[in-house]
Amino acid sequence: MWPPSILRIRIAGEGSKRISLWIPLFLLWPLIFVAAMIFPAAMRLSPRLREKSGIAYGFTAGPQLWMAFASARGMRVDVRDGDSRVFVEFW
Amino acid sequence: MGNDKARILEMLKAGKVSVDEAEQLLDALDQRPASDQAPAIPAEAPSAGAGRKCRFLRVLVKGDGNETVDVRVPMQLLRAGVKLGALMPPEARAKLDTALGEKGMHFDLANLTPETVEEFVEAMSELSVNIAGDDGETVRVFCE
Repeated sequence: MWPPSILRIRIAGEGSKRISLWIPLFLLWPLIFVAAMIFPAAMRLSPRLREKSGIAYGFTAGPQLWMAFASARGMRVDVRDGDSRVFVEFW
Repeated sequence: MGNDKARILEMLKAGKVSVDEAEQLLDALDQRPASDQAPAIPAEAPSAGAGRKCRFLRVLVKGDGNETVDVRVPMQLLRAGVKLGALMPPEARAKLDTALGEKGMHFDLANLTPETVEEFVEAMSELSVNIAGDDGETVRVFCE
């Protein structure tokens, strides 16, 4: 499953205030993938990391976090109220 | 807008929607302003039907004014969330169950298994909720 490539964000306020962003998530794929694969191994090798239960959970959940990130493709939230709008979409 | 009406009539002709559902969809279209770019009517029938895979859960809410909410959530995200929750440390899960219980939600997260979620997703494929208020508010929940 391919993770989302682009994050679209549009925020429009009252009047002429508008923000439109296209965030290239595909640039983060290598970093996130490497972290998701390396962190569980690092957690197993480091007793000190295992002592921190919160960090340990984050490390062991690396592959699942990657799958959750990949599953976000297609998610869309569009809220409008008159001229105001908040739009977030994962492509 | 004409395309949306034609699409609704085609779905009615093909038997994908009932007369009541088509009427509600047409009413919702008529209540939309001409310049409004609110969410369009989905190309497929609101109810995915048996045998059709549910890929997204869609929620459309239209208020009595110009408020609209359009949310589309991938079902795969639900599956991934359940798998992520399965990795939760037992201590954390117990605390979460306790906190939910204090709010009146006596729900055991351990019962939320991938098999249960698959059954839920399969059941959701036939889900179609259409609520229309007296002041023109509409709420639609369906799978696509």
